[in-house]
Amino acid sequence: MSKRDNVLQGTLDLLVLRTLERGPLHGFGIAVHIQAASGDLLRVEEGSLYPALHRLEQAGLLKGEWSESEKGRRARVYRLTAKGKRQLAVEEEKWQRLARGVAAVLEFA
Amino acid sequence: MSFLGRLGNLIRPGRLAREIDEELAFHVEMRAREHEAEGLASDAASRRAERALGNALVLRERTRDADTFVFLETLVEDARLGLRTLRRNPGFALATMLTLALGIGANTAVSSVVEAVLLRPLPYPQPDRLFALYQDHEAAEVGRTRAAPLDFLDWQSQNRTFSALAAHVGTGFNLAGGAGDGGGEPERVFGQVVSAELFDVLGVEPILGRRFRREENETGRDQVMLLGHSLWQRRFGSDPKIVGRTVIANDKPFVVIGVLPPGFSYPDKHYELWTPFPFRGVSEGLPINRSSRYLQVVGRLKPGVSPEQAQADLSAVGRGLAERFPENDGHTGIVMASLTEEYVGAARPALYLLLGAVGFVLLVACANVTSLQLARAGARRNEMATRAALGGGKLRLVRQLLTETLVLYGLGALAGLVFAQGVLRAVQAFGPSDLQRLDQAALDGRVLLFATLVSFTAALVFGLAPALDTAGRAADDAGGLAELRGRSVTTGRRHQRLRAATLVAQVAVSLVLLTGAGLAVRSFANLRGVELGFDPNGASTFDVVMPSSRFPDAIAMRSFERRLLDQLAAQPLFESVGATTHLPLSGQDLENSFSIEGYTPPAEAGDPTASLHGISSGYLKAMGIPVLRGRSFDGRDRDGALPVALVNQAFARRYWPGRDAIGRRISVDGPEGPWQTVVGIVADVRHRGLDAASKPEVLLPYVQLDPGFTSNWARGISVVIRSSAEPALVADLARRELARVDPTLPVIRPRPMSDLVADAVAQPQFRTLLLGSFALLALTLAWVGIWGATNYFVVQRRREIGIRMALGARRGSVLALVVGHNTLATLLGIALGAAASYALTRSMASLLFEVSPTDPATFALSAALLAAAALLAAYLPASRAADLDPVVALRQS
Repeated sequence: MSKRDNVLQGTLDLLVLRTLERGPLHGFGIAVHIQAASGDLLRVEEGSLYPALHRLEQAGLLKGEWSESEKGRRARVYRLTAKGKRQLAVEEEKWQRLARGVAAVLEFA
Repeated sequence: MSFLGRLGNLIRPGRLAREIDEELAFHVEMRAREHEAEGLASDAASRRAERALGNALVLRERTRDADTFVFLETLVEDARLGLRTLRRNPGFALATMLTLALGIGANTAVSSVVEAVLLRPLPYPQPDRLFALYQDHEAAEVGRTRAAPLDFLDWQSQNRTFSALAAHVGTGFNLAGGAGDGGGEPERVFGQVVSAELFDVLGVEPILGRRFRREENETGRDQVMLLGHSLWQRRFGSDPKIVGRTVIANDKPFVVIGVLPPGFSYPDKHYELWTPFPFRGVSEGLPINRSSRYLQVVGRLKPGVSPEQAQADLSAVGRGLAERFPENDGHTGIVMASLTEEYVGAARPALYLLLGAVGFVLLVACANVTSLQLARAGARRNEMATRAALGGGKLRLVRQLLTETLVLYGLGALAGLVFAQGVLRAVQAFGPSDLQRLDQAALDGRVLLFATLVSFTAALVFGLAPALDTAGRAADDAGGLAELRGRSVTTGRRHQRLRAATLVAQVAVSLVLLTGAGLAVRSFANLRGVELGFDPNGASTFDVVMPSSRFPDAIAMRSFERRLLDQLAAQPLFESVGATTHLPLSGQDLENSFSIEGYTPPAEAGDPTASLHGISSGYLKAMGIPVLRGRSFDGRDRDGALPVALVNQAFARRYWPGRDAIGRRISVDGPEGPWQTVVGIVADVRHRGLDAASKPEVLLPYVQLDPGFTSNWARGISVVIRSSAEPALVADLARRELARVDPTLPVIRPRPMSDLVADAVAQPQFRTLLLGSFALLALTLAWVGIWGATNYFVVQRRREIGIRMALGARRGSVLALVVGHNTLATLLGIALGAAASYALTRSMASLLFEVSPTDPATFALSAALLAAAALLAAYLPASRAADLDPVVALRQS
């Protein structure tokens, strides 16, 4: 994604892509993972998650498919595409740079 | 896949909605189970899970948005949002709409005039195949002339490239009143005497009856008439049995053979009836020769023939005639010109100038709206930042802002149409009557389409910059972190630059308009200031035509003229009375060659030519034309007495420079005489127009004019009456006196001489007035723009100004700070505007009279005016800022 202007959205995209790097997951699973992995620090705004997933899918970064969940329920499961993997690398690099920059400023101040 | 997938989703919205519902339902279910596991009751758990997801409807829509082309839906949504925003800011909405209405309205009105006058095709089939033909003379001062009848007949028979060639000449018809003629009043109607082919050339079929036949162009068979639709309706009550009836015109019976379709007129709407030209046989009124060039010629090209081929063929015909008839046709050729061009060409420069001017007005108006939008962007920062933070991407914000602008321009355009209708009405009511087809201008489909396109383009072009600017700042504000990257500072600077650029453009464009209008005003003042050579104040005029049926020869005509003038002179309210064959500024003139005793012109130049007018002895006094040397005509100069002449200054200066003209002899009838002795020199009269320098002119006593000339060329005379009575009263008295001399003749076109002067300046007055109004409009808009920009600056810097004042800054330094802020932009605008004016005003050179298109005084004055206006516009908010109470200013911010 090239929408660097919107930090919030860009951050959510990064977290989703990173989560799916571990393997295919449905929306609920993604939300749970982000929350758990961040030690409850980050809570995904659930209202933003599904629009983001569909948008990433349209951008070709994810692929969504209907499948049977473990409890016999039909669930839409997303997995990372090759393009999504490349984008993840870019976003991660960007984030690291921003984080380093912010940290430097904070230390300096 | 993505594209097709979205397209599919757009086509099958139901399936998509169901899938999204299912996906979200799964999420809620999972989350609810989690909450249940934490110990919540199952319905409470579901509710909480749903709440976490937010408004289900909104979410579903937002999710769906990601999957479809929602462009159209969003557009409507954005437009609605735009309207709502405008309703919440009525001041902003009103200011921008008014500005745009003025800009778009002025454009629409002028473009409707341009469309009707210039762009609309002539109302004949395939008008681009129609051409006007002229005789072209090698002598540059003669140029192109109309054709003589015998030459026209040769053109017609010898050319191989026109499917038909026709000739015509305008004339007046006195329609007698009373029995046998529909019972109407005596009426003067303009008509055309034409060759039968005219209606073939124009491709027009009568709605009743038939066209002329070729054999009707012959004396004795030419007493037939075609009626214009308006005349048929007005005078003959649309009588369906009109064909075959006899109408008395100029005391002669004509049989009506047909009625032309509604809307048809040729050559323009003044002409309402057509009769055949008697080329063959003995004509009583019109000379049939090769030297009297009075026929207009028009032709239709054969299919497949190019204008170049036709011109080459005509040139060959012209060379042949020049060889066969060297006396009349030597050193002449034939030229053709597009009939459309002949018809509308003269109006083009002025109308394009006006179109350019309103284009500039629109630029200033749009720039004003842009700067208003930029100013408001400051106030909307919170709203925009919130939108961005709620997930509105930058592109989305830009689109929304652009849609808002489109709504704004759309409303402005709608209001502009009302304004345009008003302007158009005024222009049609007060515009020059000789601007062809002005009355047909209307806000029709093409004009509306143009207005829509202009508004739409302007909205996109002028809306994009503020939209990008606002959206960019919103994204930064929402980002929060962005400030650490220093982006806010750069966008802030960009914002400032954008505002400054808008201001520069406004000032520059306004200055161009102001300079152009200034030049037009000076030119018009010069025109009104010219020495007319006669005194129009207190002079009235009317025409009388002596039909050949009642006045068979010059003797009868002279006798009538004498009786009429004597009768009028006896009227106590009339101070002086006179008559002429060719009234100044009436469009009537006659060029004639003449000989000077003892002077042989160089062989290749041919005889010199001058205007030739016959006048009565009282004419000069009645017109107020000064006799500079010698004497005027008087009772001595009767028929059979010594032939005498008066010449104007231009004549005396040209042919007897530095020598006395009085007593010299000239002959207007060739070197065999009779010779006329010059008895006086009169002032130069602006005969052909206020902007046309006076040509050499010869005046002869009406009673001494050659009898053949009199009965051919001098049947119509203009009577001039000098009186302190009201023009309407003068006309009524004249009517009474004429009826006493001859009750059958109408008083034709009675009017004060000042009307002729007014008509002569109507077109320059019209364009000067419009150009001036547009320039004032632009200046006002630019003024508001500068005022607004300075005001914005004051609001933005209120805190800073407060601090400065609290620290002891004087009023003067605050004034300087605020006024100085926009000074650079204003000065840059003036410099650019002056340079642009220098480049652009040349295009109006042909419309200027005795003022250079780069007149330094006008340039300086316009720039000074604009600078003063700009200073005032900046001073008002500055002085308010300087009056701020620093405590209040600081507390407020």
